[in-house]
Amino acid sequence: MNVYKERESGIALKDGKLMPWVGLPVGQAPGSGDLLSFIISLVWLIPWMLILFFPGFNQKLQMRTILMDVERKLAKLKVIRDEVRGRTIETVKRLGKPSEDPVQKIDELMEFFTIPPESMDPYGIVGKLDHLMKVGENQFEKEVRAISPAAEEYQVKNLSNLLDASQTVNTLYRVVRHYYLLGKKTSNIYLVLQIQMIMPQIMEIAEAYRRASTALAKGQPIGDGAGALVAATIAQDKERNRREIAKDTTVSEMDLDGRRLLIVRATGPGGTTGRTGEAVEKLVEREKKKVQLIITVDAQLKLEGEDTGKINEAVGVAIGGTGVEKFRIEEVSKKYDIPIHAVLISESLTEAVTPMRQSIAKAADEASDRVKKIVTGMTEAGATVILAGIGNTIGIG
Amino acid sequence: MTHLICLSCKTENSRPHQEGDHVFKETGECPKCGGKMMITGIYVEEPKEKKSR
Repeated sequence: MNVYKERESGIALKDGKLMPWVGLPVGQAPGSGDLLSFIISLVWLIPWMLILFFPGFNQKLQMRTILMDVERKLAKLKVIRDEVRGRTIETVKRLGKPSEDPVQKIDELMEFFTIPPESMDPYGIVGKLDHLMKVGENQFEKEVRAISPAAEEYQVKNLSNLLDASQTVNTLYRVVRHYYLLGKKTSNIYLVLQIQMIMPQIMEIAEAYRRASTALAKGQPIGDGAGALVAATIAQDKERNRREIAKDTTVSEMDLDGRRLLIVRATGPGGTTGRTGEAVEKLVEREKKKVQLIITVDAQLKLEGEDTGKINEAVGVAIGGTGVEKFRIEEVSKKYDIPIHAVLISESLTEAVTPMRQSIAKAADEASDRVKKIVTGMTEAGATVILAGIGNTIGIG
Repeated sequence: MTHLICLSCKTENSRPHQEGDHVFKETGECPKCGGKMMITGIYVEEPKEKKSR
């Protein structure tokens, strides 16, 4: 039933009330009638007039909207930062039992960073970067040890990882706040537009680190440990003579179908990635031409749409980080003409830093079989093969 | 979850993760034979995928 009744003025009626612009006959424009229509048209037209005659108004309006969006996300980022910081303080107090309040020191460590070397003259930059990273890492660990005197060595490593996560989230918050305030101060729409565009990725990273902090506080394995887990699975029960070859890195030996397998991995169960590049370099320099194959196993960032735990093979060195460890293996393998092979387990960035998923743990078993097949398929009995399991060994023995 | 296996009778077991657990650590006794248990894996179950309409 039609409840609208048209009046001559062009204003429709619904249950006796005025209903502007409803049920108007074609050709009868709004505002052609009484005062109300005229006011409504004016209200409608004013913004368009402003946009037309004052182009800056449009930009200001857009800027305000973007700033509000960034501000909302910045507030969420602060909540995440505070949560991770709170968890870090609680864990340091619980495991480290410091005699003094560690809050001030933790806040200082959250802003601690290593200045990268000058790259204007890139000659020798790998050595400089290696040195700086080692000094930074040692200093950081020393500071963590000082605020957690009761923590065991592996717990100090876990606490360093946890503080690392706090540092990352804190840096994200500070950088976003910087661009937000700078954009607001200078009214630079292009600046705030750029930060708004990358905010979804920043929030995803922050959320991943928030979840990672829970795993790190409890010493649970994380997705990044997949490579180390593969090496530990192969070595389990069969390895012998496990010894430290570089800081936080061990090597052990085992026989695999007549081949001598040298297994390199970080020293678990504390959270560390060790110095696998340095370890492989030392081993090759010691064994020289006897080494016939180097295999690295690591987690790989998957592409969107790909399944977690998918195993890929590649030629080359699979190690992330600064590139120093990768460089060392490449150099030594080139020097002695040793083939380098890689086995990779696909996972997302979030999965790499959060507690290990079942699919990744299962993929590690599958990858172990794949590594064994590569060793037996690519080398003859009597050969020496280096297997480097790359990744964080938190919760992996 | 922490997943364990008995080194004697191969009974598999699982329990919530406890602080100090790590993969390949020998811990606790087998509920069946009293043998040593070893942690074979520490991982979280896959999140259930949302059903599409």
